[in-house]
Amino acid sequence: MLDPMSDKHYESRFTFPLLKLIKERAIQKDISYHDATLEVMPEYIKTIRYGDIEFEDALIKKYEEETREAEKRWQKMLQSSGKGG
Amino acid sequence: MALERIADRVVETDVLVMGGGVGGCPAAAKAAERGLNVTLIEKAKTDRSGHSGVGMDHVMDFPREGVTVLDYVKYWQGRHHLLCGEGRVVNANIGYRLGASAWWALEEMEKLGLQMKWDDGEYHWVRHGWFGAKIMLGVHWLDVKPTLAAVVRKRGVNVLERTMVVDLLTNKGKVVGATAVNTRTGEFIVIKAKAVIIATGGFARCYEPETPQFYKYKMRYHGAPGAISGDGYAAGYRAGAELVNMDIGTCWNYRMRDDITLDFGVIDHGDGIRGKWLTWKGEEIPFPTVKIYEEVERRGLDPIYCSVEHFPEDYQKRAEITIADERLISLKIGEDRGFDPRTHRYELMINKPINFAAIPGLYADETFKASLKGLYVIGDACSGLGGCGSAIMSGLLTADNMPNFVSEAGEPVVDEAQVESQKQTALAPLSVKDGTEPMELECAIRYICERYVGIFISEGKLREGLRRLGSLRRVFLPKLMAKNPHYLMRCLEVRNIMDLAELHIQACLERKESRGNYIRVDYPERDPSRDSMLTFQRMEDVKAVLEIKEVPDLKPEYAKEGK
Amino acid sequence: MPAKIDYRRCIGCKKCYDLCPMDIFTWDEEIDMPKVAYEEECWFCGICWMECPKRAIDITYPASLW
Repeated sequence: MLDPMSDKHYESRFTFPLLKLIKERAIQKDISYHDATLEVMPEYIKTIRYGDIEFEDALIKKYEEETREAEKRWQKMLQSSGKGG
Repeated sequence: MALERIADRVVETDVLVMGGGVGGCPAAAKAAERGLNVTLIEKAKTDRSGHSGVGMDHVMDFPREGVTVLDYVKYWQGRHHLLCGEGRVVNANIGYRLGASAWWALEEMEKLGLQMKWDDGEYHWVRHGWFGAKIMLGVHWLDVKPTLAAVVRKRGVNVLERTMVVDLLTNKGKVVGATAVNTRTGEFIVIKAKAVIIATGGFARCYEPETPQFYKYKMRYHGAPGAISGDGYAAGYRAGAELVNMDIGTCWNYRMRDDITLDFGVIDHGDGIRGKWLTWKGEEIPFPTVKIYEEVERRGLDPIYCSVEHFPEDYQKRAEITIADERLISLKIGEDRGFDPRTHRYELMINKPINFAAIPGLYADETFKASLKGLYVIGDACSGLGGCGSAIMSGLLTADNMPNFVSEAGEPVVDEAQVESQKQTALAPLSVKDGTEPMELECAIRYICERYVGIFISEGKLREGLRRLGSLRRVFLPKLMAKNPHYLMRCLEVRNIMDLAELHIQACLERKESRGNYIRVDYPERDPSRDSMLTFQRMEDVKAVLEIKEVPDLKPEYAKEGK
Repeated sequence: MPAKIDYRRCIGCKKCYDLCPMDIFTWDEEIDMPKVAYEEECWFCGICWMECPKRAIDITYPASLW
C-alpha cells in the first residue's frame, strides 16, 4: 500500500484493468471507446463474483464493526483535552 | 395572427416538456403514448443531455426484502435529517408516491426499451446504503439517454433541440406555454401549450465548483453537469410558481478534491461496503459532516481521505464497472493521474450546500402539480425528488395523468405583449457592444455566494451579499453581451443564476437558526418552531413574496395503504 | 486539456458536434470538420471522447483541474 504522503502517490503508472481491455478492443477493431465498452463489459462482468451473499454479508458485518469502533474512538477523542489526535 | 409577426416560429402543442433529460424524455414518451401532442425542448441534444447523459449504474428504489413503502418514506425524510435536522423538509407524500409506483414504473421502463435485467436474464439488486437491503436495481445504462431519445422520436414527439426556454407564458394565473430561443440560429420561438412539465434538473452554478478553477475552465462540477443552471426553477418562479428550500440547499455526502471518479465517488455504491474515511495519518473517522470536518481541521487531522483500499478485488472490479456505466472517462483520467483505488486515497473537502436538488426546488404535490395551474414539475427540479429513478418515475406518473388535465385545460390564450416583452429581454444581449461577457458576471455571482453565504452563515454577510448582488444586477445585467446565439444561451443562464442566487440569500436571511448542515453562526441553535416549516418563495405580479409555512405530512390514507 | 481533435483521424461524422452537452464545437464548413469554439466551457464529461468512432478526440486534465 502506498503512503499517501509520498510523491509516488500520483506518479506511478497504473491503468484500470477494465480500461486496458476497452482500449485494446477499440484499437483492435478500430471502433469508439463507447462501442468497445459495450463489447468488453459483459465479458468483464463474468469475471466478477456477484451474488455470493454469505461472503458479502460477512464483509459488511466486519466493516460495520470497524466503523463502530472508529466512532467510539472519535467520541473518546472529543472528550479528551482537544490536543491533536 | 400577431404572434407570427413577433416570433420566428409558433408551435402549438398539448404538453410542453421543458428539459430532455432522464425525467423529461420518459415524460414526453409517455404523454405521446397516451395520444397527446407533445413538444420536448432541450438546450443540448437529448441523446446525451442532462445528469444521466454519460450513463447511470443504478435505479432506485423498490420496496422489497422487507422494506415497505412507508419505510421508504421514512428513509427519504430521515436522509434529510442527516443533512437538514429534525422535522420534514420535503412533502412526505411525494416519497410515498414513488415507493408505491416503483413496480409499475419498472414495467414502464421495460416498455421504453431500457434494459433492466442483465445479460444473464436476471435483475441484479444492490444493497442500499441506508437500509442495507437489496432494494436498488443495478443497471448498465451507459446508453440510457440514447435509448430514451430514440423512443421519444419514435413516438412522434416534436423535439426542439439546441433550444432554450426564455420564460413561461401565463394568462390569468395559468401557464399557457413558453418562449424559447434556438441557441445555434437565434430563432425566437413561441410555444402554446395546455400543460408544461418542468424537467430541467437542479442548480449548482451560483457557487464555485469543487476543483479549484481560478483559471479558464469553470463548468466542471462534480455533482452536477455544467449545463444545469436552474432554468426550470427560475422560469417557474418568475411565472409565479413556488420555490421552496432555497436556504437549505443540498449537501450531498461529501466533496471530492480530485475529479477522478463519479460525481460522489464510487464509495457509496459498494453494494453495502462503504469507503472508509481516514485522517491523513490513516485513522478511521466517522462520516464527515460539517461539524466533524471542523473538528478535524481544528486538530490538524486534515486533509481527510476516502479509501476503498479494503475493497476485495471483486469489489474493485464492481467499482470499475460502475465508473464505466456512469462516467467512462474517469477511468482514463485516473490513469493519467496514476490513481489506483487499490493503493491510493481520494482526498475530500469540507461539504458545502452548493447543489440545489432533491430538497430545494419547485414545490409540488404528490401528483407533481406545481403551485401554478397548468404547471407540473418532475425530477431534480422538484422538491422531494432526487436522482435518476425518481426522475423517470415522476415523469411517467405525471405524463400518465396528462390526458385528464389536458382534456379540461381549454385552448391556451397567449398575451402578445408578454411575448414581445420576453423577446426583448431574451435577445437584448445580441445588440450590446462592449458589454460584459456572461461568464464574467457569473463568476461575480459565484464569488458573492462563496464569500457572503458559504458554510458559516450570518446576517451581516448575507446583507452585504444581497446588496452587492443587487448592484451587479443593476449595473451589469443590462450590459450582458452575446456575440452569437451560443453566448445568448449563457446570458439567459446567468439571468437565471442571478435570480436564484438572490432567492438563496433572501431565504437564508429568514432562516434564523441552525439545523443539520445549515449553520447560522449568529443563531447556533435549532429553532423547533421551524420544524417542518419551510421557506416558500414566489412572485406575485412584480412583488417577491417569501412565506414560511408547513410542508404536508403523509396523508392518513397513504399511511394506512403503505403497509 | 479539454476536447482536442486529431484531424488526421477525424472523418467528419459530426457526432461530437451533435452530442456535446455544452455545445462547445462548431462545424467548419470549409474543411467539413468540427472545431472547438468554446473550449473554456468544456466540462470534461468525455462524451465526445467516447463516442468518436475514430478515437480522434483526446481529453486530459489541465493544471487548474488537477
